[in-house]
Amino acid sequence: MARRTRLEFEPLSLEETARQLGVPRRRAKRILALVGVKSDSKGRTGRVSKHRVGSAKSARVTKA
Amino acid sequence: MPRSNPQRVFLNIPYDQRFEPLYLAYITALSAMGFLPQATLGIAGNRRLDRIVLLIESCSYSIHDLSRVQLDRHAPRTPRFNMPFELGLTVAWARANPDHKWFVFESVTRRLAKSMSDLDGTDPYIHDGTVRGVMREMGNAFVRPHQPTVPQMTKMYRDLRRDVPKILHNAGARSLFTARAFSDLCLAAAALRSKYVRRR
Repeated sequence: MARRTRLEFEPLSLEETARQLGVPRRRAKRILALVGVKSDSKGRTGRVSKHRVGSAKSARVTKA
Repeated sequence: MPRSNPQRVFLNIPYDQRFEPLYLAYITALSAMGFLPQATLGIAGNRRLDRIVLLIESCSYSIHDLSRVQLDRHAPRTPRFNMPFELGLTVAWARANPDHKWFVFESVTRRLAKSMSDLDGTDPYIHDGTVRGVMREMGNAFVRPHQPTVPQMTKMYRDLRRDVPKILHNAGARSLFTARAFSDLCLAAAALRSKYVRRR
């Protein structure tokens, strides 16, 4: 059995994690939303702001 | 022969309801360490053994929990041989491929010497059958830059546990021990790592 082992690798991005787990993109988005984490197209992640209100659509500026 | 991936870890544990808290603890702790857990869930059919071997070979690490040594509740009452058998497969693989690192976990001190004396001289990681114990021992087995702390893993675990009903509902599953529930849990845990475990 191995003794205490030093890990040198970097964790995978969430996008790559989902891909390797075989989770389709739409399902992955749903899971991330469920735990309150968002992922951009490059696989970077961040917390969903508690103060965010409405959606990007509702925030769109319309000309008067 | 598949190339092993440094993030992939083979998780060899019992699949039963009583083990659920520790199952979630393993997924949480491994994800906190940056691993991608792999399990035999969903592997069925007459080529099951071949696929299990391939799965082990595709991983750089493996965790073997040998704490379930009791007879099961259903007739005919039997012990579970899958875990020690898969450990044997892994040990044979690791002898030929020393890059594969394997670790044995148990809940009771000195019991392994009785249940599997072939492993004499191997000190298993004793988790005491607790969630916190699994997290503590994972930190004893592995060290990495920006090592996740037990309190961070505990936060991840609480969130994951809270979200279990929704994950099961989404998967249309009744048990967490299905292939889909497992992959969804692993992704959720990886997402929680990005929320609670600082990278830099």
